[in-house]
Amino acid sequence: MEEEMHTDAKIRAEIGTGCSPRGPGCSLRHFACEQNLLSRPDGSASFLQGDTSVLAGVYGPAEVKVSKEIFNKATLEVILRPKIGLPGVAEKSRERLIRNTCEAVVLGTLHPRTSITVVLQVVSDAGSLLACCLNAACMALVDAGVPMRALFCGVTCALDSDGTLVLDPTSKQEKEARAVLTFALDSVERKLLMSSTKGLYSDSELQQCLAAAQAASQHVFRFYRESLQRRYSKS
Amino acid sequence: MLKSKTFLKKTRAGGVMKIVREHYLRDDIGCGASGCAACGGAHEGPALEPQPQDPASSLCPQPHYLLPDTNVLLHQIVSAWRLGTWASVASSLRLPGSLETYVEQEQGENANDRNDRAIRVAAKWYNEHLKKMSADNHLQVIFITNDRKNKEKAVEEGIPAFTCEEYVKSLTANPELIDRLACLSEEVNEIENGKIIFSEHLPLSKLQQGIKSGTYLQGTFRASRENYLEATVWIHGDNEENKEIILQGLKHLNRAVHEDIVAVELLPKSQWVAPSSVVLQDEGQNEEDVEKEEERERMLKTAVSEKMLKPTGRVVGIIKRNWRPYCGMLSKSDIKESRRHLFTPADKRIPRIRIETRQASALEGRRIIVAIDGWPRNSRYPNGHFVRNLGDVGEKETETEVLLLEHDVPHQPFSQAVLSFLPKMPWSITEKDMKNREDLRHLCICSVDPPGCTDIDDALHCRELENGNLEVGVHIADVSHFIRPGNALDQESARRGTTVYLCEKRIDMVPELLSSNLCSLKCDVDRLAFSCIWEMNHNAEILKTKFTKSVINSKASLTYAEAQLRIDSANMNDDITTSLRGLNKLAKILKKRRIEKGALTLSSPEVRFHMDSETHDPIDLQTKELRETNSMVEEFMLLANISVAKKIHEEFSEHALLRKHPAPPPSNYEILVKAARSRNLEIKTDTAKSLAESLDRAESPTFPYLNTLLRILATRCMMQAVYFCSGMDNDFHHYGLASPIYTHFTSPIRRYADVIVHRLLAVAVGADCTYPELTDKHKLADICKNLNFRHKMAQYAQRASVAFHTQLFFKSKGIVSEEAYILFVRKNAIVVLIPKYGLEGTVFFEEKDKPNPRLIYDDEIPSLKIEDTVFHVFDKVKVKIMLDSSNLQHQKIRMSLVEPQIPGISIPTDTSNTDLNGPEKKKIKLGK
Repeated sequence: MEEEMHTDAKIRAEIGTGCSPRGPGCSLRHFACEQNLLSRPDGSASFLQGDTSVLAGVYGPAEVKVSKEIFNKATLEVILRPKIGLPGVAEKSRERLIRNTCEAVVLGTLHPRTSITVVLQVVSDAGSLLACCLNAACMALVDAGVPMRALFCGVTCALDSDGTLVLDPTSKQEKEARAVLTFALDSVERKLLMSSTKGLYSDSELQQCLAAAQAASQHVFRFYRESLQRRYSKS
Repeated sequence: MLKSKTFLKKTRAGGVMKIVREHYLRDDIGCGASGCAACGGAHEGPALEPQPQDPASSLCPQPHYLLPDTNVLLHQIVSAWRLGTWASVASSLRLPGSLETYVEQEQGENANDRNDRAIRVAAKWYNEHLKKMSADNHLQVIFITNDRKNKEKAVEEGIPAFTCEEYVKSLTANPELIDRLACLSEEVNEIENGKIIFSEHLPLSKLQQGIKSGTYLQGTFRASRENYLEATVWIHGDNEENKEIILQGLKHLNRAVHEDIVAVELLPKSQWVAPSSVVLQDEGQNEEDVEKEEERERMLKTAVSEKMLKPTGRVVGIIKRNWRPYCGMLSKSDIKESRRHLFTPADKRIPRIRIETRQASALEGRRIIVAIDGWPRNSRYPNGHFVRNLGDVGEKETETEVLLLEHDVPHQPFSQAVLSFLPKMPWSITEKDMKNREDLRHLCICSVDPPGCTDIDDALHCRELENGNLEVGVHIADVSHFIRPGNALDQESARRGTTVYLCEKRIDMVPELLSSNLCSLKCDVDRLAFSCIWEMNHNAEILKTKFTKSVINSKASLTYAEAQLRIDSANMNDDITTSLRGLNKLAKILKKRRIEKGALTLSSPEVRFHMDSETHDPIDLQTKELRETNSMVEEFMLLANISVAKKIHEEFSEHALLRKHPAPPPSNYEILVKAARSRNLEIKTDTAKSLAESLDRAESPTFPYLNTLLRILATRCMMQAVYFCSGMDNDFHHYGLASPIYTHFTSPIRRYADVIVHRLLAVAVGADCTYPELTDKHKLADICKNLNFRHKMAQYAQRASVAFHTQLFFKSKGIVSEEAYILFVRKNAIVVLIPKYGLEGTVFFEEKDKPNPRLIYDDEIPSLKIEDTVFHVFDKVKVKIMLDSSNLQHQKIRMSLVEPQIPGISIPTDTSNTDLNGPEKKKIKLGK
């Protein structure tokens, strides 16, 4: 990936945040993450991507309702709450996307007949919301100590009308874009876990976006690592 | 791609679905003109003629194509196919060269305007395109629209545009086409005087609101046959009170037509009325008769007692029109040269329709079909247009067509799609057919049917088993083997529901290949059958029942008479005859047992025509004769039906198709009991058994025909038997047959109900697989509803056919005097039955232009005293029968009294007085 990534430039020591000055349309926005900020859940994280911010809490492995019990693995549940109002159809659809991604990496078989619940609260939406939700969920799962096969992250790409690729777009950029693609990738094989697209794009454009997302995921994972290192080295 | 739209949708299960809609424009639709180089072979389907034939229009003399606006097309679809140049219809439905002619809806533009613009763009494109194609032959596209604004805009844009009327009028070669134009309410408004007769119909949204809140009631409008100013509305739903609402007066009927779904408003109690018993026919020819009408309406509201008042209402709006094309005749306008005439439908419940035609003189005396176009507020009659000429009144083909159309009997030839599901000929039984099938070809099976029967659906056998018991088999044609569920053939038979037998014609339910060949259990050929086989002892007690699909080979197809001959002749002892004798013996026991249980033996006069083999004119009338063998076959069919009903109900308690015959309410019997009492006989009606027994006892040594008359009367008291789904009802009883459960299994060639029962039974015995619709009780209930309707209609059509042939018969026969018996006594008439012809008719004693005779009617006895003569039920009279052709539309048989003689009423025996305006008006209705 040619684009210059700045995610690792500075990491704020105290709360484990990093930020990147926005490059000429192609770099990621500045990142920030705080873990273990809620006392009731088993794990929690707040994730910031630019002005987009999502708060995540993970409960589990805990007792499961008999009706939802699965005898050979944990029941994974994702609840996404919008900033205002009640969850609607769009939230339901995102919930499913996030749950499917989590299910692919969480080692549920280690905790049969339990429930793992991920609750995501949108704090502010300024573009790339689904990617931010995925990142917040991953950090919260890590904080809760849920065993996972790999970490995962979400990256959103937008293609505007003349085919320029924008990573981690803002909501304005998303609105103007011809197509918006969100991918979830795992940290071990860098393989695709989930993709959700909207709009018109060609075959080669999809490949191009995927390559860009894979490159960007390296930086996200590096940010994960550093943010965690900060946290644990301190205590 | 033009645009795409993505949205999320919640599924019923609670999941979420992402739906992506993409909108593309085709670039492969050609202009359709054959030989167009620019479009090449891109165009498939019907092509435009390269050189449109000249329709000789005075408006546009050059050769041209027509591009009708969609509204024009919808309105004129009937006339469209008549015009040679409407070939562009197909291509205008999918706009050609869609890349060039695509029009996006602009802001502030509604969908209609957008469509209009799209058509204009297409017309323009066509004109430019055709110019490019051939500069020399000046092909043009003429745009036809009835929308004034659209036309103006088109002319502005340089497109030659005309209204439909302008164009059709300009066609000098086909002047008759103008009649076929569906008239639009707009044009009529201009001619009509502005007087508004009716109140406005409320819009649908208001009606729905009103229905929800209960201020209006929704129901089916049923016009009265006798009185054109009166109608009833059957309210939908289970509301017990106010089930039926009476509407009286033209204004309250408010332009509703028979069978429409309407919304009615109940009037305050002070305005409630009682149904009038007056017979009124709409005879006004003039528009200005509205005042007179009001007078008539007042006439209806004669003094009535308080309790006879019924809920009364008025129509506030129409929810759904159920207009169809109507058969009838033209009543030519009195004004010469007038183009506007009234059309009188054959069905008296339909109002007269105003049509515009120039060929009135050609249509006079013909049966024609007319469609209603609309009913403006200021018009006394609905407006319509002429559709089709059926032929001369009184012609056999015309009248048959009319009665089929009027009774909604589907009688078109079977479509290609339906025929494609028929087995290929030559057909033979294959290995696959033999699966799950028993080979019964060795059995000595024979069929017994009326003479000339080609759709044989049942055959019988009987043989002695080694253990001394008897094996009896009923073999029914396996129609469900050929009609597979869900295909076009199945759907068409389900729609038809039943085969309709008219006097000289049969309207098949299944194509002839099946009905008269493959499914018909003819002798000496292998046929597939569904067999019901019992093991019985010599007392006709069933020891074992078995149902199986089978292959049979009938050894003989006999008529009832032939079978009877075999049984009776002592010197015939072959297999078939012994089999028949065994069956006959058992049938007698079965019948005796059935009658002991309380089954009714009813009677209705059935007539049969002897037809001339050449002209198909009836030569003679004869009542049907009953032989022992008729009842033999009937007995085993009943037994098979009952056995099958038990089996399918056992297996499918929720979705068996059964037939029930509800017990009539006691009030129905009043007429019968009173009539019998007048002859000092007692008829008990508390149970079917006591009714049957008292009917048997009711004999009079001096009057042998009395018993038959009583049975005919008893038949009239009965309810209609109906099909139903066992899961939707809990009363299964068949009153007439005194059986707790009953179904139809034995005539699958001519009844669709039997096909369903065959399928159910086949699943029950594991001979065939099931399908989802079979076990859906709502679907089954829908089928039952259609079947009941079709059976009723078929019955009416049959009666109408008999009535028509009776008329033909008496036309050729002239005037005859016959003995008759009084069946009913009415306030101003007697209904008589002529046993010789099985003919029933009404003799009226009142006429509006004549002084009324002194009539005293006694409801209790019942009797009618005319001057000094008293008429009782069952009295013997003599009547003169003749054909009354004074009303061409409804030719009828008139009866006039000959004996006993009443001065001024009866006509003398010896005069050949054929004056139809005689003092007594007599009308006849047949075979009710």
